[in-house]
Amino acid sequence: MYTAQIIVVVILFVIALLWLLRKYIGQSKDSNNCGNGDCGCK
Amino acid sequence: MARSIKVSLIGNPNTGKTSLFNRLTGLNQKVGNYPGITVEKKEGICKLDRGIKAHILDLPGTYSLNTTSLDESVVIETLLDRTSKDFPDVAVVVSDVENLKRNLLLFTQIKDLEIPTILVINMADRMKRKAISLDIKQLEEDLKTKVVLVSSRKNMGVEELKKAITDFKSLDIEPCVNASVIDPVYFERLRKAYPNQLLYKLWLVITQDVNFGKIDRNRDLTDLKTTSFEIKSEADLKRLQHKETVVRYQFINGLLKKALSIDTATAKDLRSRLDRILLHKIWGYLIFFTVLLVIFQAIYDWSGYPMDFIDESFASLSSWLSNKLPAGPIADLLSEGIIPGLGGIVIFIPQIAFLFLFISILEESGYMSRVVFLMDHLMKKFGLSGKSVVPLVSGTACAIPAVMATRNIEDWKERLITILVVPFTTCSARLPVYLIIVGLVIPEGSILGGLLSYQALTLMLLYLLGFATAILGAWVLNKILPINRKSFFVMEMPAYKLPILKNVLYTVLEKTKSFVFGAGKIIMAISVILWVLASYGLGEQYTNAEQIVTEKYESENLSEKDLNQKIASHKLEYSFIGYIGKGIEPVVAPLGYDWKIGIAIVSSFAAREVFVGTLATIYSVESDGEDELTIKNRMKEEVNPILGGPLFNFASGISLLLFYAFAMQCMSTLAIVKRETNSWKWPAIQFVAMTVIAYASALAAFQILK
Amino acid sequence: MSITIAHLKRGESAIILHFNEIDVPLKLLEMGCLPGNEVTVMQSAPFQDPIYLNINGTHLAIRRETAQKISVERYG
Repeated sequence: MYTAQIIVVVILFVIALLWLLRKYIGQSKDSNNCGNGDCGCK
Repeated sequence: MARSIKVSLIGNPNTGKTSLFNRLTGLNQKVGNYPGITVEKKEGICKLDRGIKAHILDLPGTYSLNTTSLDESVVIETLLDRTSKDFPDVAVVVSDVENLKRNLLLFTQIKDLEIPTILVINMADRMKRKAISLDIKQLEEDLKTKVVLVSSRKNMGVEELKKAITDFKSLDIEPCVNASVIDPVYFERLRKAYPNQLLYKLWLVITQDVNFGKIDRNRDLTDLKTTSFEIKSEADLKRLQHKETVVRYQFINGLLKKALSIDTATAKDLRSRLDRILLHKIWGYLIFFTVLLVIFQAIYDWSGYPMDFIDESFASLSSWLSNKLPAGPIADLLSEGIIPGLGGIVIFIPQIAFLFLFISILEESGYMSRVVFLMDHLMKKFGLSGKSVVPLVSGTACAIPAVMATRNIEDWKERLITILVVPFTTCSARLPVYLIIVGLVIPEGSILGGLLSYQALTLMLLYLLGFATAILGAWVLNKILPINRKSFFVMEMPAYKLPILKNVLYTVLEKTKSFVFGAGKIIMAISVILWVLASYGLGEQYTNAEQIVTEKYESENLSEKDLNQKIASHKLEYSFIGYIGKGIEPVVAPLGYDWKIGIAIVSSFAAREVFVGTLATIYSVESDGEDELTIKNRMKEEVNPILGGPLFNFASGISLLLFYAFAMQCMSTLAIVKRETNSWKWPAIQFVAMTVIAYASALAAFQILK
Repeated sequence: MSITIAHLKRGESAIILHFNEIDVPLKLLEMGCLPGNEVTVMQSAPFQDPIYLNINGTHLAIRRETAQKISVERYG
């Protein structure tokens, strides 16, 4: 049970990390041109 | 059978186009962006009779089809490209009854494109008061189309418009002005060179290059350069465009002489009376200053109550969850990582809502243009335009829409300087950092008999500091940038209007929603990462933390609670994040910060508002999870590891405030600046300069005050 | 010597005579600033810059530099 939870947490961690990296580094090719949309422009 | 009609709403700025859009679509709308460019795209659906649906596209406001900005070029691209999915079955040109003459210019251009076009004359409710009478029959006859009188404010005529849209097939598509008279020989040659193209469309495609480089000389014109067709010089084309405008106005003036009558005696009214006060050489400025003051007081004071409530709710939700869920990493991740992190963003909602509320009221009422007018002369001296006031004021919400709002500044140098200095204005993402620090280090109490608290005053000073730095920065840039200024400036002074509640609320709702969801995702991801880094570690110091700490404090006879606290702190210090933080510490220690603040600052480079959430996550990992402390109380208990005493005292507080005031900690803004200036050069300069200023001033502040 | 919009006082009206295309943005023309049209000075900011005009029924503001380039003829 405990190990299973650890695995879930690690997976979440990796997803979060990849998502952030893609958002900030792989930005050149995206179609959303609102910066990152975390402001009122989207 | 259900059918759908594509409709484009087109019109001059300030004609109530957006209100009409809201009337037609209600909440059935979505706001996005045009692919490849940062122009807002508003679409919505309107149900018509017989199960027909109208897809309505609200195009950016423009005065004509001669584009001078990115926003305007969207209009012409939509109308020229018949293969585009946005190409309308019917265009609805929205005009304002008081400015019909000017509004008709755009109408006649669109009509020349042979698109079925309905003319909406908006604000018809004002006609009686302004003693305006219109001969609709005559208008319909000469403009060769359907004319609908509408009042989007009073909800008049909207049904008639819907009916006109449904029957769009019956509209005449014949042009009402013959543009080719401006140079018949040239136009005839053009027609011969491209026999199967619409003549006026060709003309538009050719002339757009004069003003704005973005439009591709359409696929249809690719062979333009290879044919023997003579290309006119830019000056010639510009002269012809001027001539075209004159021809169109001749037609319009002739028509309105027959169809429109205004009793000018009653027309002078609210506008001139209000202008006399609001543009007064002394009162005008005083009123503007008071308006700013009220806005800041509201953001700080009135939003305090809902914010406290949100802060406490999240703290108790966290402890409730950690009690209810079965113990384990997932429960900890939720109660120590994600929920405190999210609380750090939800807490902004009241302020963001207030800020957008005020900004949209100022814009809707027509007051914003008066501010531009008042400020232009002053701003010009600093290398800015009066129009820079709008970005600088809306920069208090967010630098991103502010950078985009610079588009209507005619002069490139003024525009570039505005873009470069806008991030100095206090955006809403700085607000939570300011609020929490100000609350911790500035004493309670008030001046002016309780009217203005010290804390509100500090906040106002911070806003003024932001503006002052922006202006000063502009002055420096104006001196050093080797670009010529043309000093063009044209601005419409719209009529005063009572803001429509519905429009204001839509704006507030839309902006708040996108702020929360956009930033929420980032904060969620960052809090997961931070929590994992803070909760796990390697090495003996981490794995044997309990043993080491117990042995260390054996003689002191600590209570179990205190001991657990010490163990948690020790673990945090030797977790992954502890190592990273210790690495940063030498850099931030001279500013009066510990490694935890260092981590918060580094993660703030993704977005400033992450600061509070990061500290919240770090502190809740450290606490034993049972006590229900708010973020602010936890910060109060922190001790400076080197100097002793509270970590957040006056000196380090001011230092932090200054750091956040100046630093360029927003990747989104950098991305948008890159896009708007079309090079990495400007955002890079911006980033380096701002970070250096931030570090230097924070250092100076702490070393002097400590 | 001809006078320009910049010479007009508050409340004064005149007829636009001519200007050079290079000195005036197209946008101003689109808003109705054309030879033959009437212009009235509504108000001006401190230092007479910018100037708030009513041209042909449209209310707009332009800078003094531009106003100096548009020659006009006073009424009467």
